[in-house]
Amino acid sequence: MTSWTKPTDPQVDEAVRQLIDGGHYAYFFDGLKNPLWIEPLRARGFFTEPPGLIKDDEAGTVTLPKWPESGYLARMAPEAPDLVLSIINALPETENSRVQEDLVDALLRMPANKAASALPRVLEWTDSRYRFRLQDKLGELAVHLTRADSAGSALKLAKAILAIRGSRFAEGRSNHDEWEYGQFLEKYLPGLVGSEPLEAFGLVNNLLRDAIEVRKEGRDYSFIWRPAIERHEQNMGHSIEDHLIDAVVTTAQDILSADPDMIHAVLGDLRRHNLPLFLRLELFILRDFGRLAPSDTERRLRDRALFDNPALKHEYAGLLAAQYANLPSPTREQIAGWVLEGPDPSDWCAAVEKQQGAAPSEEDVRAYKSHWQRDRMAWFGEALPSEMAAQYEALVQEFGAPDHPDFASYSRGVTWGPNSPKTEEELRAMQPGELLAFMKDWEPASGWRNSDSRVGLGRAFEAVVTGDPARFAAHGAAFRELHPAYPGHLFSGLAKSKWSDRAWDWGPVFDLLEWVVLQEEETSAPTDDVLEHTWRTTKLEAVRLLDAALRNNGLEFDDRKRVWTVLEKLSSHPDPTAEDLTEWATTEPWTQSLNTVRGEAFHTIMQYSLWCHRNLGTEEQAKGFGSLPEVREVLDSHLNLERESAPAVRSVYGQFFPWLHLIDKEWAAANAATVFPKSVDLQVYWYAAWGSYILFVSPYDDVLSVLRDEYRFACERLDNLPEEWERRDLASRLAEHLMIYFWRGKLSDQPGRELLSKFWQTAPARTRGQAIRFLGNTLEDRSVELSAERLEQLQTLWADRISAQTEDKAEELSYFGSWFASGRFPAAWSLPKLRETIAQSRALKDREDVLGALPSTAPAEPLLTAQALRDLIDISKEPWAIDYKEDEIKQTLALLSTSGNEQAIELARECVDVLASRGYLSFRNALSGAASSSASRPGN
Amino acid sequence: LGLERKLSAEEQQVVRAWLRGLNPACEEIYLSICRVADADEFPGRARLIGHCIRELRIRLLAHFVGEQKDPVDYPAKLRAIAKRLELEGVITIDPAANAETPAETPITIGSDTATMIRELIGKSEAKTAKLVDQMAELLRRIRLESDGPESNLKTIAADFKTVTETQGIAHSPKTDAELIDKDFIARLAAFEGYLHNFATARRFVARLETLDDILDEANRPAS
Repeated sequence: MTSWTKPTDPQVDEAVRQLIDGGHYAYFFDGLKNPLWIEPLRARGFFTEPPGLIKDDEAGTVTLPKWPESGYLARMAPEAPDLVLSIINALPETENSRVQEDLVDALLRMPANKAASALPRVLEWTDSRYRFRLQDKLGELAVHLTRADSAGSALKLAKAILAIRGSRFAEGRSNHDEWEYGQFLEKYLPGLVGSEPLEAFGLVNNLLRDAIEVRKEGRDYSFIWRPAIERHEQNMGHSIEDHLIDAVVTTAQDILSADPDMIHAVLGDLRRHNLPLFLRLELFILRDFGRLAPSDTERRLRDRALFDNPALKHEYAGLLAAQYANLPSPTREQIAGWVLEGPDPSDWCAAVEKQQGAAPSEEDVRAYKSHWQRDRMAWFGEALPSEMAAQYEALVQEFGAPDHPDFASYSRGVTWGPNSPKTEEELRAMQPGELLAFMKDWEPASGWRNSDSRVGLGRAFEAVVTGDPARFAAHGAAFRELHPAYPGHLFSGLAKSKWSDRAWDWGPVFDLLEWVVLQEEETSAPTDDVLEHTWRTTKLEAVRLLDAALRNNGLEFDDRKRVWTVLEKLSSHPDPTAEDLTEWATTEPWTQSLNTVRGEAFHTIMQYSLWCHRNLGTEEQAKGFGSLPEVREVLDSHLNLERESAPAVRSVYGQFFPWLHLIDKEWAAANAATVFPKSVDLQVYWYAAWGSYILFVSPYDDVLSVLRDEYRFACERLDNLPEEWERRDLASRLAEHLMIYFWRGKLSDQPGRELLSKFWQTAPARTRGQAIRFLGNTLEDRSVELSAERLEQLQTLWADRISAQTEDKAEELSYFGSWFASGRFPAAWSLPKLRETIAQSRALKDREDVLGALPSTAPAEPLLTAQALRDLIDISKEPWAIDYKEDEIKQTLALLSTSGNEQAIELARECVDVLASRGYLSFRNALSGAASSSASRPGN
Repeated sequence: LGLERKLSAEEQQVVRAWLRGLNPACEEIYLSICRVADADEFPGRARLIGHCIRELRIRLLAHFVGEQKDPVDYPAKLRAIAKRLELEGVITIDPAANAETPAETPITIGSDTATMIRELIGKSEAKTAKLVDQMAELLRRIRLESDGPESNLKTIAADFKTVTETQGIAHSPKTDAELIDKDFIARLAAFEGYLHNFATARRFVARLETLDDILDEANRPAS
């Protein structure tokens, strides 16, 4: 051990007087190695006031400050254990688990006997809410204490750490709590078992009993939540109880492997707890160690109540298979006799009669008994007595192999997706006629799970159609004979097929489409299978097929009339009904429009219009809807709220407004106010049309002049942002639209400036910030050209936003980081703006990017760069902001140090001082030529 | 001969510049200390230095923490207590009063008076505690960043209070020969050391070198 120099009083005084700064204070205690300093430092008041938790209720954070003094004590503990111990015992209570960690570290570094004397102190820390690494340290300490002379310290600590009833779990358990608990048992229990095996076993049994009792289930349902005592795929949970069961088992196994004579002590401890779970544990232990306690094994196996208890099935069966051969002959015969005799069916018969209203038949009773015998015989496994073997084989032959007979119930998980009676390959191999006949005749079997269904067959068929549409398109007429599910799957399969290679004839398909849309929809209750097509959803697939065909130019223009016949019919389909005006329909009408027949029909009418527009000559195109009178009639008619009340349909007008404008500018201009109604009582329709427009449409210059009033109205609504807008991001999309128009110079005129001004006046800070960030992202994209005029406008905007008089400006301004980081503005202009921004916002998004941009401004503008860096460091109290950009900051500092600008160099030095004081000692030499030593010892 | 000084001439300049930045009067007071300490002969300099140290402490506190509010008027409070004690017959100020025999029932201090005494003691203690708190606040504001660990500040504040507690020296009836001893020199050195630490508090990296020297010395094994 090192022999140290005792410090003098002046030496200690001098040191203490240097520790005013938190960084120096930490640096000193982190670097002090001499234990002889403890006493004089203690005399001067150190080691008495550990820092507590710092709770920020507003931010919802808790900080655990480091205590450099406790770190020093931990390191000194091996050399001055008594002194450190006396300090630990004299400290006031602290909730700061970071301090507790250091103190436990100190105890770990001193002899176990000495550490044990601090046990009362340590027990105070076991309920700590903010444990982090403390849990592990306490575990290590518990194991360390097993070396102490005083018995029980280690287990006392372990008991406190693992206590189920303590305040730790009073407010429930998180997944992390449960995981941490399991980790603790796995890591530290073996160490405890090694020193005091039976006591440790008793502890985990007690904890398990507490855990079961705390569940307050009324009785022990462990066979449900823990079907097998051993680790098994049927055990789904990772609860504390599961971890404790594992711990009980492994502890028992470890004890008995090391000392088989302990068997009765082990069984005795399990029997202290009068719960079925402990009986299951006993049966399980006996399975592997039954030969150590043959009479106990025999007693348990010949207990008919255990044999019949469904909660014990798994462990009883396991024990029987493992130990049957070792049982005395009479016992073997007794158990075999129970099986051969079969069950008393009276309870079962009564239950069946109660459920079905009639007693089971003799055949049913025989089957019940046979199943029972087959399953019990399976319990024996390899040990099945030879006299039963033939009967077992016969039963398996007759009734099939037993299905996990040792479990009360066996979970197979969930099979996703409906099943088909034939695979795609099988369907593909069939001739179309054969396949259609199969679909016509095949009926799904009754059954509710895992059975083949019409949906399953339909989907397999759909995939076959997609791969080879021509084979089936020609047979459209034949589908009239089938369940409505199949035409739906045919349409869906065709819609998904490759349109570029289309080689199938529309004729039979149109025949089928026209027939389908005329079908009366069932009024009876829908089928049990909610996935199965009804006429409604088959019509939906019909319109989706047309939509796909129109979008992909997959139709001949000569078929225009036939297309319209179907669409016109579906445009008046009752789905969505007035009753469908639910919250969903009003908050997300655009989604509803895609899942209702009429809504989808309107999407397709828009596609139809564009398809016609594409196919018409220039002269006809110029007539707008004059060339598409059938469309205009439907559109006009459904703008009438007496005729059309579904917001879903109105949302389609909004979503296609630029294309309606493309087809017929006059119609669009004349109907804009109707499509987007502003009156208070029609807001649901305004929201439907505007929401789908703003969310799904890019801003087109042509449309701006038509929709300027609508944009203005939307901006006015930002003043009192509806919750729905917030949730659906409508406000940020509006901000994006406006910023795009701004970038394109479309808002430079007086009305445009007024519109922008309205936006900045009414939008909440977050939305304004999103607008700024959107422009910032565009600025950062160097592929986007920036004209001098636009640059000037952007500079004006930044300056205006800084000088704007709004209360919530800080958040908005924080988004300007990306503007600076883009490097698009002259540094001499942008650095002061950055500083003004930081001064007002005291926070900066994209701060890392800003720090990363400073090396590029430092050579030309050293002082401004240094000032900006200082400001940024000032608002970068979180460690990550510095960590991510450490290299760039060092690069900036190096550039500043050689700039020749004295003020900049002085500021750079201040930056280094601040960073070093926060613990970033690697910055100590960041200034070339700065007077500092090369080594940064403590903390490095 | 002048007194032994801790700070070099250059370091004294650093302190002066810092104090000047706070308030030119502070620099003057420090300059007084320097002149008086460095003079070959300056009668009563221990008392003068004691006064200056206290004065600088008051001014530093006033600058960084603010003027002390609600000062306790001890004489007035004590006079009020004495008056009550007299009324209760516990003490007598009148020499002509009959004090030949004590009263048959011993006179005890009334509860109101006891409360007044207790409150006065409490105020005195609070003032001391408050002073340490104020000094801790002074240190917190002087350091590079005001947030950060607090637990070190009270310990150092208590030391700073001890170092600057020079009332006894300032009002001592003793002569310089009796007052200027090893402790006095150490106190002056400590005070100047504090001033230099305050003046260079923002030079974190440079000050690390001082700490490195201290740690080198502290961590040196016994030879």
